[in-house]
Amino acid sequence: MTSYVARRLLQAVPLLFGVLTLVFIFMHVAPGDPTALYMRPDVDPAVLEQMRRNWGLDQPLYIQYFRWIASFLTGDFGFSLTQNRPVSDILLERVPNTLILSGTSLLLIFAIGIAIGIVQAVRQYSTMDNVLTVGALFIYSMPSFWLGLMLILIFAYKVHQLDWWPEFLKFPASGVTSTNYDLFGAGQKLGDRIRHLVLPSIALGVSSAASVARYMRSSMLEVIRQDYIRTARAKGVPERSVILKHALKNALLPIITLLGLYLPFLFSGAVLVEYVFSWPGMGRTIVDAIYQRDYPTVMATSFIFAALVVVANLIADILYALVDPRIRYE
Amino acid sequence: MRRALIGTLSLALLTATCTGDRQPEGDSTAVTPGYGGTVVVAYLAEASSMNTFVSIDEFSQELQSYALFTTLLKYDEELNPIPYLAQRWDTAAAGDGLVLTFYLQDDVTWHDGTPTTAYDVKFTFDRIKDPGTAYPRAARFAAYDSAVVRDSFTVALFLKRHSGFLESWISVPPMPAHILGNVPAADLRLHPFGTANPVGNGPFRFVEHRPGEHWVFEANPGFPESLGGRPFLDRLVYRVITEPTTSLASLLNGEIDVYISVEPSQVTQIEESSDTRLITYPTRSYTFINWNSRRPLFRDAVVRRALTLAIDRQRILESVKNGLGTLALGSVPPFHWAFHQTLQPLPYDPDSAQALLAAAGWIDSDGDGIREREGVRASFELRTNPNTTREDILTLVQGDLAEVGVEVRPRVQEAQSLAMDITSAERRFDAFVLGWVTEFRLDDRSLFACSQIDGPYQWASYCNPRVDEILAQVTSLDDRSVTLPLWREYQEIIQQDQPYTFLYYDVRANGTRERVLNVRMDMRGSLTNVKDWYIESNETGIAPGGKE
Repeated sequence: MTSYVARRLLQAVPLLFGVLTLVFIFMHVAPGDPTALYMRPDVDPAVLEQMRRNWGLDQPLYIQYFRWIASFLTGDFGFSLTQNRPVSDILLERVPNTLILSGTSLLLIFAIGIAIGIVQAVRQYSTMDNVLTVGALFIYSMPSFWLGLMLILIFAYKVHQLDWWPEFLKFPASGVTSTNYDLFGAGQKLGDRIRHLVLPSIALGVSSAASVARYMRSSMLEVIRQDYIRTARAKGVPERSVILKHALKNALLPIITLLGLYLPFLFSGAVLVEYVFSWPGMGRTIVDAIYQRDYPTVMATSFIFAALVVVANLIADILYALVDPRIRYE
Repeated sequence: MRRALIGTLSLALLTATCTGDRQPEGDSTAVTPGYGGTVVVAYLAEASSMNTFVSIDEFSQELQSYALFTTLLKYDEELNPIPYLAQRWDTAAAGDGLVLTFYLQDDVTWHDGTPTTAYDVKFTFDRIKDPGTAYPRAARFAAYDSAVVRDSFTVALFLKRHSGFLESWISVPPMPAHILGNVPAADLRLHPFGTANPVGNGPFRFVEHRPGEHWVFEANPGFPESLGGRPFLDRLVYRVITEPTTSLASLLNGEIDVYISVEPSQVTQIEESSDTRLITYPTRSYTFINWNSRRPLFRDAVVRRALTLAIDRQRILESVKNGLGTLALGSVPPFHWAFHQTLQPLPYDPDSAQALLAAAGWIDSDGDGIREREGVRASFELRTNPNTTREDILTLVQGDLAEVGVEVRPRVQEAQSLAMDITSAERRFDAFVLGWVTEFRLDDRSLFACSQIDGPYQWASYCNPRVDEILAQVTSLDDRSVTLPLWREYQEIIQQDQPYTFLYYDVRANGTRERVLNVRMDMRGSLTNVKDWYIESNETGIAPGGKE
């Protein structure tokens, strides 16, 4: 197992280098550069030239590339050309925010998706099944940014005007924390963070939860028809235990593969949701950086995204081996 | 009197925090300025840096000038320079130039306790002039030569007399020499001073910056009484909210107090809510169509005028901006002293446009609905960058020009690749819609001077020797009564020649919670008098619903 993990990680190295080289080439082939921010009639073009010199953008491309790779290998991501601070500072700040948001969504996706899937499978073709199927399809078809805006409109605005609406179900529209966060006590801080997390994680996760529910339903249905389930029932095992103990574990197998597939999907979804909720995460950072041609920031954020995807897939494969004894990695 | 109020208010604040709801403060309905409270201002873009050597964006500038630092001079309501950190100044002739002497306030200190002195001004000036700094606005100081410290609070500057030489100093706050003095010019940009721990000398001092999220400032109790003393607010927070719908919801539910740059479609909701009001002011930004006069179709001023006449600019303003704007007649903003008060924008007159086009030889001879002349079809590509307002303009212009037999092919192009095409010396475009933000000290030479024809911003490839003469004079003379007639003539010529079709000046609308009082916003900016803002005195600084 250890050697398998080591091998997979080693395989990831050329992959990541390929990604970085491609991103580097694409970014520099794209027209414009970071001085575009300063392109105005009252700014002397000589000043822009000086900025390029200060940033080393006047060097030939291959020198810029090797310089970047060299400093990257020593763990130095360089300076953001638009935020005027070290890229590592930006990553330290933004990566946790994105991981918190995607992590919460992921939990939400699997908890809700699996629960609904089980209910639907057990009560196949019942009214409940049909209602949930239609509901899941409805939610699945909603784009996350639109859902986000609707959630804001309802839970961050309309309900604030209702006196009878419980206070704890009125949510803030944006940000990670309140403005006076630094004046709060520890408990209040945690509560504040959770309240800010509710709407964005729902917006990001709910449509995927709907699709997990679909997978879970069909996977569960397949398992329930198996002989050993019939045997378990025949032995007189209570239905609850048949479903949750015998059937669930096997039905979960295909779902675990989804985990590896959903993480990259969540990261890309985070771009839109972070925008709508002004959530200072990686998604917003990379999009802004691309538009402003902030080369060092784009390189670093793409690296982090690529690395996270590699790791997520690895975790999914390992989990697969853990739950399914038939699968062994040598 | 003011001091007495602090007591009452902080008591009220305390009670409110404990019980978590709003407490009426006695029966006082009279509104008196009181200290305390937090105001949250939200805008869609980050204020990039508090380091004046680096930043060029609007709100970095505003926060620097009006909150964190003090500038030597500021503008009064008629855009005349008035004293601020410099309590007075004088000028004397020196050779063929000028000596400008600033006498600084002697009671302003940096927030770490060090006094602000003439050495800070000299340091700032020297770095501005150092090419290694790559100071974006270095051009403003092009006619300045050197600075000499006379004594701790007196600094003399040597320069060539030119128009608005005092105005160079507005929006350039001196930076602290005792902190940045030893930083090499090329490293100033990346110094943590700008984003992590700025030290100012203004009415507000720095508390926290979370990039992309917020800047937090608090009142500076030591701000000199002679400059207005401590601001009323305890805290000023600048938040970044990118999505307009989110900003609107946040304003209406009280999460934020000032929503800067409201979308035209949101105006009604803010006006209708009893908790919010709308404050509008004219800005320095205008939207225009640039005609590439190197193209046969746009070479003739008559054709350009015909195109302007054929475009219903009033309808564009109504439909894309909900009327939040003023029709433009040139690059001079309507509030500016140099504005031509009696000139009217060209009317919407498609019939005259048709006649002018025909007279210029553009006639539809093959009956396909598009005019031609000498084998060239009156058809062109009209571009813009991705921006819904401007994309809508393309469509409206396309419709209007089709009526007069001119074909428009709209194209939306990513901002930087569009910028590459239009700034290239070959001018690889026909026409485009973009916007400019002018300076208070107008200088259109880079846009319209013949000498700039291959420069990056002479997009119209427009050349008129008389315009060159005028632009040279208005930028070198400093007497407004002498330059005003020249400015007026300039606007008349531009109106005649139409290198651009000027569409409209923006009017900015800011949504403001009713609880924030004494808010003045005008062409100088949204935060112009932020140190005089205060919270309605029977409020408590805790937003309704206790969300803060």
